[in-house]
Amino acid sequence: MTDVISLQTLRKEYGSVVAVEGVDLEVAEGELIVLLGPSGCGKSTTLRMVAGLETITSGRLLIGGRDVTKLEPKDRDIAMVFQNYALYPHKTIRANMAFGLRMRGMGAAEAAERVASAADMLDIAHLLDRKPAQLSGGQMQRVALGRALVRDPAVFLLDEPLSNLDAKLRARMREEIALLQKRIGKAMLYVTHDQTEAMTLADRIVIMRDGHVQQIGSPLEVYDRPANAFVAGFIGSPEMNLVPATLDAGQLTLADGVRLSAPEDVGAGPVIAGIRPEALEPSDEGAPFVIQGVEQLGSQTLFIGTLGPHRIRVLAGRRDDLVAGATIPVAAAPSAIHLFDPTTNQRMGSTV
Amino acid sequence: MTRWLLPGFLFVGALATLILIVGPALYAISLSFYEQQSLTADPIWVGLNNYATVLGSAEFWNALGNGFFYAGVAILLQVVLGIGFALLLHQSFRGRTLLRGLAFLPYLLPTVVAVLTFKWMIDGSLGIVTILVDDLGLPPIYWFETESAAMMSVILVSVWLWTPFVTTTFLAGLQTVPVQLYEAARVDGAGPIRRFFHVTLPMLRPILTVIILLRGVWMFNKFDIIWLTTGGGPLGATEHLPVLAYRQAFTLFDIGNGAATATLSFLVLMVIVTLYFWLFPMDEKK
Ligand SMILES: Nc1ncnc2c1ncn2[C@@H]1O[C@H](COP(=O)(O)OP(=O)(O)O)[C@@H](O)[C@H]1O
Ligand SMILES: [Mg+2]
Repeated sequence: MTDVISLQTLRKEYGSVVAVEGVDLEVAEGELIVLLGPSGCGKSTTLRMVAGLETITSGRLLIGGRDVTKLEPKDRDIAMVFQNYALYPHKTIRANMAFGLRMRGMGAAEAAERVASAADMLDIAHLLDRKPAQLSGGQMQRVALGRALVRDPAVFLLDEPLSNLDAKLRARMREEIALLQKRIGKAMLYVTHDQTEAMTLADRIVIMRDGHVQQIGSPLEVYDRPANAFVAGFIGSPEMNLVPATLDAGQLTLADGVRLSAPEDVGAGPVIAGIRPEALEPSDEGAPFVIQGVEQLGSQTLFIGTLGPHRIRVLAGRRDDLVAGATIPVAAAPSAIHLFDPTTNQRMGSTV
Repeated sequence: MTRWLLPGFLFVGALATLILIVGPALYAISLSFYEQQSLTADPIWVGLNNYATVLGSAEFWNALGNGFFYAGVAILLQVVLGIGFALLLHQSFRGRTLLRGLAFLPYLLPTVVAVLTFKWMIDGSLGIVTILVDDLGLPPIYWFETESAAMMSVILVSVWLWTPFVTTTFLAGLQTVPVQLYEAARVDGAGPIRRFFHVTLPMLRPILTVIILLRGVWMFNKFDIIWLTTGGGPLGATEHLPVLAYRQAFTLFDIGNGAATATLSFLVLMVIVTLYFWLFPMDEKK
């Protein structure tokens, strides 16, 4: 497989503000890459540099092996889906979808054919003669996708495309986008701040913070082996418990009398222990967990409470018998505990 | 107390409109059915005689044609130039705010001041324009002396005075166009010109419709600028309906004919505005 996109230390400054500090990324043909991170971390800026909507302060960008660092968006072989759809309000859906083709000099007949086949694929054929204002949010989203699809570009760029939809529709569109992307087999860069979206869609996730890439890896890689405490806290829902602890002789001391078995001997001293709520189980012996709140999720039960002075969450199989105020022993498999350096926040050891 | 506030204000507003606008208008229209030698003379009922006289005169048709020409060309230039300046001022550059303020200045000038300034600038012996033209070795320009030049000059002053209105309104409209639409168009491969015609213009169509309507009505009724520059001359070349009505009523003391001309002018305008609303509906139904 060849790399379709190559970001080489792409950097963006706005005056004295550094929005993106050198992103390196190779995207293979047919790969779906999700740029993930909290608001303001530079995801959109990175995507817009790839699109050509933002000038690149330094670094190089290759698309299809071609250096496009300085080219206009139209010369980059990309199509983009915007957060607010950005459909032309005065044009019909048909004209919206055909616009990019017509601007490139394609004949009306061929453009109409492409629009029709894309509309079929997205199930919007019956909407073609309407104006955007006559569509629902979900339908506009499909049209925006369709407008990108007809162009048949080397790369699809999507900036938080589902953020304006309600939760249910978002989940459905997410599935559809995943299926569509696999079907057309083109590379896709997808920006979101929603880790669920990233986990379910991505071939690889690029996690960013403050303009820096934190980790690049498949969803399970970043879930199983977060490179630092930030990634650990960002990936997974409910959030991973991150508690300061002391490591000594295979024992993790979270507080007086609150101990867990440590994963491996990475030395002795202070650490940050990362334990996912789902990795903690009520058990016969373990650290005393004081339940303060109970959230029933249906098949699972989420407990909010304290381990010593630390507020943590425990996600267990459904339990109807435990109520707030109770204290139960909880334990985690040593291999499920992540250790981070308290000064650098970087991952310690090689725990899987 | 508050219960009566809104109806109260509405009543005062309606009363003021009635006394200050509807009343005089009806009075003016009624005058067109009488023969009256001066404002103090006793009016004599003559029915539609005044209308017959006015419609039968070459003056009326000349003034109507002039009015259309003057208003049409002036609006066209104002809109085209106004949009052009708005697009320029919409770009980001140093001193943009200052320039935006300056661009609005001519609109703030009272017409009399603007016209006098203009006349002064083109004064045959002292005017700065006259001297400049002379220094450049060009033949002198007779701004208001020949028939076609007079019309062009009147239009020129109008365009200079009221283009800022179009610029400012359009500029305000430009701020409301979502940036993403331009970005989408860029990705779609549309250059600056196509972005203007496919994004800017359609998005600002409602604003443009109102601008043209307002400016059109204004220009058609614009009295002071022509009266102050040419007085309708030379040889009626710049005389439009408002000036004709004024001349009939207050120079020729034929108040009946003047009122008839004014009423006809009002009717013409009403027909045009109705047509305009029908052709360019304000709310897009489609
Ligand atoms: N046009 C701009 N001028 C100045 N700063 C900007 C501009 N656009 C974005 N930024 C800054 O760059 C950073 C990254 O922004 P962005 O890429 O939009 O974040 P994200 O999409 O991850 O939420 C933010 O701190 C933002 O304030
Ligand atoms: Mg963003």
